[in-house]
Amino acid sequence: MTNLLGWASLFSLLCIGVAMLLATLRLLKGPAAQDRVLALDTLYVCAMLMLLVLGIRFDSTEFFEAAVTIALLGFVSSVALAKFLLRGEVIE
Amino acid sequence: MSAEIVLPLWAEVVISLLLVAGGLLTLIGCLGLWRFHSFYQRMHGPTLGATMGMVSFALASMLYFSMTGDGAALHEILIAIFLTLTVPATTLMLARAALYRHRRAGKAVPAPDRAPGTGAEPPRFTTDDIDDERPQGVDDVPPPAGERADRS
Repeated sequence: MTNLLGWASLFSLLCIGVAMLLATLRLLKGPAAQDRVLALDTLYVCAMLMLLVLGIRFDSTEFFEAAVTIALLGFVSSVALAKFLLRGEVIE
Repeated sequence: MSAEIVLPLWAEVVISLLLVAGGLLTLIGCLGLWRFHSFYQRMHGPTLGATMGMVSFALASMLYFSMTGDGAALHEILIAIFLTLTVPATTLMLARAALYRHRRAGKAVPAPDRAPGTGAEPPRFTTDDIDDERPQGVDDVPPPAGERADRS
């Protein structure tokens, strides 16, 4: 890990951290339920991107599997929450 | 962090640029999620991070592990394909749910589709009707100066 790559990954980690903070604020504030679901959706995408950057920073491919798992489970949870908002129940 | 790995300078510069661009895009997207006023505007922000941000990070990761490991490391394409398929699906479902809930609540959102030329013309709508975060009282006209002086 050289200097330039270290600073770049640190910068992008900070950016994603601030982005996740903003999404958390929207999650706490969100006037309606759909805003909270949208914020949760954003949070999982940001967490997945953060894992990709951490994989570069620590030079390890194990972060990638965690990122794939987050992407899979986040999709399922978002669809379930949207379905709940639409129908009032998840499994009909 | 292993210090013995040496990347060529061009690869390092390209990876750093991709990382910085992806981070900035994700940040701008979430800033939109926080700053916009109605739900339908807020939906557009995070897609920035889910499309261009994700592509930037996936390209950076692919380039880095291809340069440091042996052979091409293309498994980040999996994440890119998967997110490209799933993010529009969740966004569409969420938009439909929000539209349904707004209609149920009697908000002025577009009516369900109807055949052209049948029924009454649907009412015009403005985004102000579903704007749940507009500061109240900004547009109010202040009372004339003399009136205010009389009251105080």
